[in-house]
Amino acid sequence: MDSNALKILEIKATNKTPYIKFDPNMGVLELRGRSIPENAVEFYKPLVEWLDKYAQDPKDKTEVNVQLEYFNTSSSKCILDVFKKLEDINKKPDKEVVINWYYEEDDEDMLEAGEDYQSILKIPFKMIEMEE
Amino acid sequence: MLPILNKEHLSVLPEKLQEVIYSELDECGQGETYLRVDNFLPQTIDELLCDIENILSDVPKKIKKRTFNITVELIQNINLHATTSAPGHLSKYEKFGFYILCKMTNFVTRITTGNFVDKAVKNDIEYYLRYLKGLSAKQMKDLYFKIFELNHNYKGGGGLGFIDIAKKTNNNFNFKFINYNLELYLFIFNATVSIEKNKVYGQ
Repeated sequence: MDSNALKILEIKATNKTPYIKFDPNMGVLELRGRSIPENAVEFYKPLVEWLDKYAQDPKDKTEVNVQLEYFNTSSSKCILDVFKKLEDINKKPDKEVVINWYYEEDDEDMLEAGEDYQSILKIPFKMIEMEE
Repeated sequence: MLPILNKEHLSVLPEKLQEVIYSELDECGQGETYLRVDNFLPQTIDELLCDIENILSDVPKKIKKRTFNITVELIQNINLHATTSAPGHLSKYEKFGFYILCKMTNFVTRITTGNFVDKAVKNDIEYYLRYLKGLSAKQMKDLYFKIFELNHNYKGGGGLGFIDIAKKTNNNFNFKFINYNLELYLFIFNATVSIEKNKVYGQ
């Protein structure tokens, strides 16, 4: 399957859900804003399903930019599901996935959350502090 | 009748419930207080979170973020887990509960929630929270990872929310169950967020 056949996935942000954009041609996933929906499983389902299709013929390098302001524990598990899909892609020969985890200066909770994912997953993480 | 946003309007509630809420409000002392007694459906949660962000606009970012996060977990818990059979005339509200935020100072906030739970689930919640209170920081982290990697469902994170609250408050949380009638308990949960690290793990 040609990954170019996949359309760009774009989900607009709300006051409870993040902006999501995954451009299969560029191999770049953006996840930004707050993720505090009551039903996180339902919200993340389209992204998880989309990743299953992308994983059939991913770009050589996939870059993931995560810049979350808040997320609830229900979302944290869904984000882990997303990262596990990316981990599977990273295991493929000649395929690479990098996760850029952005956190605000002094936000030790968000840094810790990124480090928790890093310790569970076998994907390169870059922790990027943003100045206020 | 709902929402109730002012303690002067609590008189419409059953006397026993009023006493509990007044008692929790007394704990706030002279601090700025936000009260909401409501039916905790998604629309209510949206409104409450908007109010909380405004109230926390002048506190340090770390306090604001932790208070907001804990608020999200607790009020979504009410939405997901509160009994649908609140007592008396409150039974018409599917997810009845209350929320109190006290800005004790600009560096300390106290969050309180209350909701009815069925007698059948009281022991499980109590056992779990007592267990968390007894954990060291390392044990808490280990449990967090264990639950984090389990499969989950739409009902939430399988107890992960309380662990997150314990971590964000350095285990500075308390709870009680008030026997309300033969079938119901009123579950009260308090969490204190402070910039200072209160080393109370394992006490």
